[in-house]
Amino acid sequence: MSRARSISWLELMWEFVRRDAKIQLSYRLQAFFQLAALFSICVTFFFLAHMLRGVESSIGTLERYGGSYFSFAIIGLAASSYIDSSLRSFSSSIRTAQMTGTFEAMLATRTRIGSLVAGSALYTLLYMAVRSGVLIAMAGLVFGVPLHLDRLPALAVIFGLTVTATLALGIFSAGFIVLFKQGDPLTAAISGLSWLLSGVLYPKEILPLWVQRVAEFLPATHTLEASRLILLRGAGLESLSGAVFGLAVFSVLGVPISLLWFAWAVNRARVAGSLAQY
Amino acid sequence: MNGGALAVEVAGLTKRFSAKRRGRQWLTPWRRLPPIEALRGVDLAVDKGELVVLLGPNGAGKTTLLKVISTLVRPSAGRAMVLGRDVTRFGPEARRNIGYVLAEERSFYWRLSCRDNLRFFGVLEGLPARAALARADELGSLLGLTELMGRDFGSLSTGQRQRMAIARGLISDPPVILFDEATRSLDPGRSERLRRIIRKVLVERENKAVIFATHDLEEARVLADRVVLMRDGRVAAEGSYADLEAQIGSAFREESSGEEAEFRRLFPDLEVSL
Ligand SMILES: Nc1ncnc2c1ncn2[C@@H]1O[C@H](COP(=O)(O)OP(=O)(O)OP(=O)(O)O)[C@@H](O)[C@H]1O
Ligand SMILES: [Mg+2]
Repeated sequence: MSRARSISWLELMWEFVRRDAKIQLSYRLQAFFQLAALFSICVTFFFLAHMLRGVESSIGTLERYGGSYFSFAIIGLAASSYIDSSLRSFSSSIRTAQMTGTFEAMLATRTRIGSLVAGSALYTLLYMAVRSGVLIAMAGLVFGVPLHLDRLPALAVIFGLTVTATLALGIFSAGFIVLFKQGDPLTAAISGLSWLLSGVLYPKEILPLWVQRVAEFLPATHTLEASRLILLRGAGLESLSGAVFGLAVFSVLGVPISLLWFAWAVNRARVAGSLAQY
Repeated sequence: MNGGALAVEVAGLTKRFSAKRRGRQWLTPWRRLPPIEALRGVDLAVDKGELVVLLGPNGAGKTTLLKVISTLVRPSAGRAMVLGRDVTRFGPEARRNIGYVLAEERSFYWRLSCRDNLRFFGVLEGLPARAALARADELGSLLGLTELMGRDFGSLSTGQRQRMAIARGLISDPPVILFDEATRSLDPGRSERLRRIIRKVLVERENKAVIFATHDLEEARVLADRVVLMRDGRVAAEGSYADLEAQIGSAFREESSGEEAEFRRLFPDLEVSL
């Protein structure tokens, strides 16, 4: 009966990316402002690090990451902003769609809700990855941070594991939004704690040891440590087994659990008739 | 495929929404709140090539019924089948066979062009992008949207948006189409043409099954093969408009008789009719 061949999942995902890219491009000056914002982050931390130049070498905890505060901070910001916004991207895209009524319209199509949610978050995930890449490239090209680019394959592995680990939390908060129409405390807590404990702007090693143990339960801790050691020290995956293991555990446990939770939440919302309410 | 099955078959469909606890009701959490009964055992069968008008006053359960059929709301009891398959169990399959023109005509991407909007929803319905665009142009010319295709959705008037919602519901050319107040905000000429499109093209020529929800008596009279009169979540009567005319009239009058009495109490000196 259906007159057209079915489209592939990739074609479907592409259509979401295209949609969101077009919407973003319709805000013409945004790209310019985003780039300017990245540049001003670099400049801020460049001078902050400049101020610390004299004492940098006496900060023992920085030594492990190559000893330069500027490169430490930029990679910290690049990785943590990526994680933060990918955590939020699922729930916030659903929330927007609920408020504009497009969520119900999408749900009335034959596309499954899992694909709808994945597609809705995809553009933000890609965009933030590019943004973090640009931030690091800027630090390298404009501000002369020496980067171990020969280690990009290792970085790609860490990045992939970071994506799957944050996916678990992102899908969890998406379920929460579907059910309760508001942000969930878990993701908020993880975001906030990551900022404090994972070592974004200061090495986590300056924290008390027991706090460092707690921080190991945050995916960001592993991503930050691994990406700095890779890019600044040229570390290979073999010396990063802790981070790889940590992120893998998050992904393997988290993704199935959050998918089950999400399916349950959607079903509850269908019963309550509140899928499209806000 | 599913040759013998009815296009839409609904049996004993019941939907109770649980009421939300608020304020002082939290002080007595053991006390159960009475649920909101939106549907109370609805039976309905629609064949291919048939046009059924769901007629009923505000709150009768029309939208809820359409949402259950299109899987957006899960029923409390009873079942709904589309082309012989239970919608609760085969959701994506049911939705593939259904075009749903939502009552909410704002549900598009306001910063995208009409063409891009239809393309996107077409792809969600499983059409390759190129086919979705071709279909969008086809529907655009049918519904008078051709000139608007390149414009941002946000710049459309209410009636133009409504026509976009209709185009979206038809984009995948499904065998079953649900319209929820589809002529709302359309001017008389366009309402009349839409009714002709539904009647002559979709139902008579293309043999589709159409359910058209409305509270407009005149619309029901000119459009329906069969009227299903809904009231308080039940099917109150079913038949041709002419046969049901008396019942329909009294159903709508009784529905708001309380409001009418209140009006007369507040303004006893006013004329009763305009
Ligand atoms: N999600 C919901 N939660 C609670 N009650 C609901 C919900 N959706 C609908 N209802 C209630 O169910 C009843 C039927 O609503 P429905 O929207 O189906 O009416 P309708 O016939 O479409 O009315 P209208 O002509 O005003 O569109 C109403 O009393 C409404 O308040
Ligand atoms: Mg309604």
